[in-house]
Amino acid sequence: MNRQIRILVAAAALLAGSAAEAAAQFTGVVTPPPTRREQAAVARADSASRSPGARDSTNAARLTDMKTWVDSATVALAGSAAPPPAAAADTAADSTTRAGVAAGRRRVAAVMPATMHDGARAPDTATQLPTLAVLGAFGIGAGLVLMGRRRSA
Amino acid sequence: MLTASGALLLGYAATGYARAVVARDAARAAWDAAEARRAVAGVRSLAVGGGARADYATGAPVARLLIPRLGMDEVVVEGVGDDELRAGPGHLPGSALPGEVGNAVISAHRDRHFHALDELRTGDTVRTTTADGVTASWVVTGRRVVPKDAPALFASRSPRLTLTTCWPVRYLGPAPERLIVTAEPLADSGGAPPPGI
Repeated sequence: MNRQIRILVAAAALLAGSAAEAAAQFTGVVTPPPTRREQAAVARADSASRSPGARDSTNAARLTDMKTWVDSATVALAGSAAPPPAAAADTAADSTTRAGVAAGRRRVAAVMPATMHDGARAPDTATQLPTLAVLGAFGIGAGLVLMGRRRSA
Repeated sequence: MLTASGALLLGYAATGYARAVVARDAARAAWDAAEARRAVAGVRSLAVGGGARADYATGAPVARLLIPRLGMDEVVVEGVGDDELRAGPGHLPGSALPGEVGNAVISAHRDRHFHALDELRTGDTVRTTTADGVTASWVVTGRRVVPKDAPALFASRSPRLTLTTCWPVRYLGPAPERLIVTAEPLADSGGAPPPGI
């Protein structure tokens, strides 16, 4: 019985100890080799893009849409107006501070609920006196019984 | 040794209960004195929500709580600290006073002033009188048990009375839950005491 327990404990320790190493080994994704159908599709697309006709039509389309693309890109850049890195950092810091303050308030409310607020928990009315009284009575009773037995012995 | 330890524990508990009795008597005496002063001054008002609210010091008697069916008659003191809860049911600071607009929260220990709170049932009548003389009658509308750390008290736009104590009432050790009893004003009381009180 003791041997079985030892084996179980050793196995659990081994599993616990090897868990981190095992997790580190499986961080990458092994891509399976493409099937024949996928290989054929890739080959077809590759040959189509390399054919002279396809290349010409693609280039023509790009050249035709260049002005439209530049205009749309300009509008998009002006409209997005991304904040500078410093402002973004400030925003992140503010949100972190707000989250910290909110968490602090929650902790304070949990520890000191002695004032009313919406969602407050009920005041701590727990008392140890009944437990102490019962333990005391039990102790006295047990002590008296032991004393009585000692006297009778 | 065992007997001595038991006697020590029992003595400590008995001292705690004795101090509670003394503090309760002191709170009742303070309430009686305040009521006498009020009667002499002739400022008694029976209108629910009438009059300006006074600020009470911690430990000062702020209201009287009567539950006729349970034979409960307690003086409510301001605050819910150890000393206040020893003297009587405590009024949670920041909550409304009974009869005011808002949620009036009163808490007490399960082994002392609110030992019979678990016998309170929906439909029972509760009566309160504040130190300002505002009298209100309430009807128990619900009771629920929540974990001790769960949100249990909520603001109200109308007068509401909430009584809380530990749950289970007969439990050894720190009780893990809280009994929350809510009461609404009696619609037809109009601030007058209900019959039989």
